[in-house]
Formats: sequence, structure tokens, C-alpha cells
Amino acid sequence: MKHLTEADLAVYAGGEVGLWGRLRTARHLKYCAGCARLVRDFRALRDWTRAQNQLPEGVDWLQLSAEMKANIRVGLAAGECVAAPAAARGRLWRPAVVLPVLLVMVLGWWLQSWPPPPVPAAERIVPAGPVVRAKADSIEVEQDGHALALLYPRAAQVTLTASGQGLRARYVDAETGYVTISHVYTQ
Amino acid sequence: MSTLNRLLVLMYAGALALGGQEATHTGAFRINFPADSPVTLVSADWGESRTSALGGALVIELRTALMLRNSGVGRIRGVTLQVLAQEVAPGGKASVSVPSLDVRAGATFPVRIDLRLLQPVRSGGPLVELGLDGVLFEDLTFYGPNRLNSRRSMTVWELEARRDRQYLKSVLEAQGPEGLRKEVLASLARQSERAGLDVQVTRRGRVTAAGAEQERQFALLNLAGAPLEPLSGVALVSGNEARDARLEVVNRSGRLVRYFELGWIIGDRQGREFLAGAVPAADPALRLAPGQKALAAQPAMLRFSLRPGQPVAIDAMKSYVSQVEFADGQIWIPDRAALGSARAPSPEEQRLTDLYLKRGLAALISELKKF
Repeated sequence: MKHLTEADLAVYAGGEVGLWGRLRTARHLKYCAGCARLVRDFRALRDWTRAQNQLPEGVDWLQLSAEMKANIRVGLAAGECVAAPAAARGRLWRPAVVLPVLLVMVLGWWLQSWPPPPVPAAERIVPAGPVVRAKADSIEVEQDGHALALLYPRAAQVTLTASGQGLRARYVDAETGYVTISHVYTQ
Repeated sequence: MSTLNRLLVLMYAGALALGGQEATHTGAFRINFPADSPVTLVSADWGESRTSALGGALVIELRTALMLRNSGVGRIRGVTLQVLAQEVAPGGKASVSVPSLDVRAGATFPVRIDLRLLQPVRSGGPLVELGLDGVLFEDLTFYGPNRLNSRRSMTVWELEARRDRQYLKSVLEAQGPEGLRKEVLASLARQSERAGLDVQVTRRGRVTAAGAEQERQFALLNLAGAPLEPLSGVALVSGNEARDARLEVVNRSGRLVRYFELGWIIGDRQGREFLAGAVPAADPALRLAPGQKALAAQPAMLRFSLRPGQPVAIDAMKSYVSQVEFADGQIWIPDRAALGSARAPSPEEQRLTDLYLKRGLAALISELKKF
């Protein structure tokens, strides 16, 4: 099975893909647990990112809007002022109008390019090699669509810790009454 | 996947459906104990094992209760079984350990193995091989190939078990049954807090862009009586992820050390703390003489979240020496008082508190008196 790229999955998770792409990706996710998990991770990250403070402190949008409008009015007023004088000075009104408009455009571009909030590292670090993760019912080592999971179906409470080589899950097996420690390794 | 492969998958799934569970799962799952093993297989019940198709892949769930017998002469305190699935998952290696056992010679005991395999196509041969990695006895002697270093792990768990049983006994003697009950309830509360942490581990990560990642210092806990002293430690942290943890320790004991581990605690912005994992000695052939320094390293990338999927923003990190193995094989673990709030419940503490929950205080007291 050919996997989708992380970029495609991230765009899909963000709901920014077209109808055809959405259908195609949804069909792939139906059969590919690995990609589906990545989409879930991206969605969780998106939600987390939204929950953070995404705007720089102190940005007063109403004030910025008022300033932009004021600049436009200043520009228009300047244009009217310079329109009445002699024809020799007639050419000067054009920069007087254009400059404030340019100023507004530059301001808009600057606001658009405001530095984004720190990107969660999950979007910057691409895992290479096996990934060991916990699921609701198991710990799993997964690579290239192959997976080996140790399940804990009879555990009321599971404690997870990262070992030097992988991930450990510790629980009391309700059937045997014994503490059981499952360990999956990254290599 | 090619058409041929799809056909093979369909044929294999059909054969599984027609073939019956017992034969199928026996063929998929091979149990291989050494001839002189002090633990022997009595029976294997494949009860709820099943196979299903997921798109073009096969999902095989093997659920078995192995009944094992102590065929040796000593009391067994712990067993570790190795699970290998190299054909299914490249590097697919796992283990199941059962510590805190008390199995006399000749007695039987159950071990549950529940696993799930996801594979595109079956390549023939057994899917999973189950072997014995080690058995720990009451006198701390060990049998087994020890490929997964289970001797050390099980010895640490056994020493923690003795320490914690002794502590609970002392509480019972000093404060009576009600004092013991309070202690158990406090332990259950701690376990409940910790149980919500999800951890994901990736062996290597390719950094595609530098950004918010910061180098963070560990706060170091110097435990009374520890043979090693942590000197410094850093990890790269970003949001809910941490990687490349590196710590330096110095050997303050007068003995040669061949292995050590440090506990890694993370704290979030709400002030909650979780034991996230361990940072092992970086050198697998360590020979740390008195006064010498050595590094511990956890090169993997760890990602933390609280179930269900809420990232834990790492705000603080602590570390302490959690185990030391000397050159003669003796192992040091911290005592409970020294650990204070950093202490995570041991497997035995988990077993005993679970016993209290299921069978009450009298059963717990009775269990403590067995040892």
C-alpha cells in the first residue's frame, strides 16, 4: 500500500483539501491504520495549537483598523488639497493618494506575515525508524505498515514509562491477579 | 499492493476462516523454551484468538493463557518471556514480564499473552516466536539467556518488592490496620494520577526546521545513600516533546559500577509531576571506577500526552539515580524515604494495593504476613 505524504495528511486533517482529494484520502484512511493515526495526531495538534494564545500580546485590532482608515482619509484629503492648485502642480496629487494606499497595503502584508506561534515539534520532527506508542488497549511498535502490539484487555489501570529501549506498560491482569509488565522495543 | 498479493491475502484469510482456531494459531505462534528450562509449558489456551482483514492487510490477534510449571527447585519470583515477530514487523521485539511471583517448586502459574499483529501478507513460517528470557528465583539467582537484560530488571523489581513489603509491614506494626489502609489509599491516589500519562517513543527523528525547541536543564535530586551523584543534565524540549536527554554522573561509591539508570520526571504547568521514563547509562560496556564520571543518554524522542490525546506542555524536568548495578552484580535501589515525592509505586506496591481493592484489608494483611 502506498502511503500518503505527511503534508497531504496534515492538509486533510486541517480540512483544507478539495472534494476529490478529501474522498481519495478518506478512502485510503479507511484501509491504512498508520495514516489514520497520523491524521488523528495532526488533528489533536491542531486543536492544541488553537488552544494556545496565537496572537502576539497587545494587538488592538480596532485601533489598527482605525489607523488604517485614518491613513486613507489623510491620503484622500491630501489629494483634494493638491487638486485645486495650478495645473503645473497637478501631477503631485497622484503620489499623495498612492502613497497612503501603498502604506495600507504594506501594513496589511506586515500583519499577514506576523510571526506565527511556535509550531509544535510534532510537525517539525519526522520520525525515522520504528515508532513505539500507546493506544487505548495496547502498546505497539510500528514501522512501514507492519505492527506488533501487546494488548492489556483486562487492565483497569495502566502505567506507561519510556525505557532506554522502548515503552513499558504495567498493569494488574484481572484474570491472573499478577502485575504484568509489557515492553515493546524500538530496536 | 499487487493483485497477486491481494489474492494471497484473501486466500490466507479464507484458509484461516475454514481452518479452525487451534491449528491456525498453533501454526502462527511457536513457543520455544530451552530443554533445561526450570519453567515448562503445561498448556496453552488460544480461547479468543481471531483473524480479520483490514483493507489489504491481515490483523491477527493471538490471545493465550499459558499455564507454566516451576520445574526447578527454588521459588520463582519473576519470569520474562520474549516475543519475536521479525517477519511481521521489522525489529518487532517485545517482552512480557511477571514480577512479584511466589511460585514454589512443582507449582503451576498462568501467564497471559495478548498480542496483535498487522501485516500486509503472510510470508510463511511462524508469525511469532515466544521464548524464555529469564527466570528469577527467591535467592536472586537467575536462569535464562538474558537477551533483554531481564535479570537486572527483575532483580530491581524484586528488591523494590522486598523494600515496599517491609515498609507496609512497618506501617502496620506502628499504626495498625487503619494506618495501613491510609497508606494504601494514598498509594492508589498516586497511581491513579500517573496512570493517565501517554508516552510515544521514536528512536530517531529528522529535524526539518529549527524553531521553538529549547535546551532545558534537569533539576537534580541527590538521594541519600546513592552511589552515584548526578552533576548536570539537559534535554531538548518543545511543547509536549523531549529528546536527546543527557546527564552526567560521578561515582561517589568505592565500588566499580557497570550499569546505572536515572529516573526522568516531567512537570506540567499545573504543577503535576509524572515519572516519564528512564535514562540509561550511555556506554553498554561501562566500567565506572570510583571518582570517575559517566554519561547517561536517552537519544529517543519522547512525546507526552494525557489521555485522551491532550498534550502535556513540559514545564520542568527532574532526575535522580534510580538504580545502580555494581561490577559484582549487586544492585542498589533508593529507599522510600530518600525518594520522597519522586517515588513511583513499584510493581509489588501495585499488586498489593490491587489486592486491597479486590479482597479488602484482611487479605492484604494476610499477604504481607506470608513474607
